[in-house]
Amino acid sequence: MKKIIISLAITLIVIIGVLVLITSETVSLGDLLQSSFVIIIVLGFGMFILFKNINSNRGGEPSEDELSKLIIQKTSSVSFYISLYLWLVISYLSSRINIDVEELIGYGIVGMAIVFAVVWSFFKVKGFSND
Amino acid sequence: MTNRIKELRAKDNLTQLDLAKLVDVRRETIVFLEKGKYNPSLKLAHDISNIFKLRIEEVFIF
Repeated sequence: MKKIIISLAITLIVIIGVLVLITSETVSLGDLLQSSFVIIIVLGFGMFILFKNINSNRGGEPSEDELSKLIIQKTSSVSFYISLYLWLVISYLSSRINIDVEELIGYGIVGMAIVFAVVWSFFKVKGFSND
Repeated sequence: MTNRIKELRAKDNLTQLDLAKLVDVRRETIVFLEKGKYNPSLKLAHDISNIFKLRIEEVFIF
């Protein structure tokens, strides 16, 4: 229930954000496409997790257990370290290429979302054998 | 660490989902356990052993 409320709150924030962006007069098509890309990635991943949990609940399984909690914990810690290096690379490149700060932050956020998704998928496939 | 979950489950005619429901975990966790991709917590190992009415060391081999 708590997860569903959080998911709905995030969806609401994203929808309001999109509406503000669309109604804004200063927004260009490029900015809109870029924002849409970020939103689609974040929402897509969120919806995937949400539907997976709903299906599990229907089948009588718990939405999370010790393994899924461990996967999220491990994914968070590993993707945090990778993201630190990602931002280091972005800050290094920012002084060498001509790019807007907003655009750079956008790439950073997309990068973090991709890193999280990749690391999560990796642990989902590999598992945790502590031998 | 290896385990005899698959063998014991087949003996008791339990599906992965049945066992998962009995020990209150996701089916995916049972799949990972059987493949040796996850070492369970002591509580989960205890719960699984209880289902098969065996001691932990008879189900999980160190």
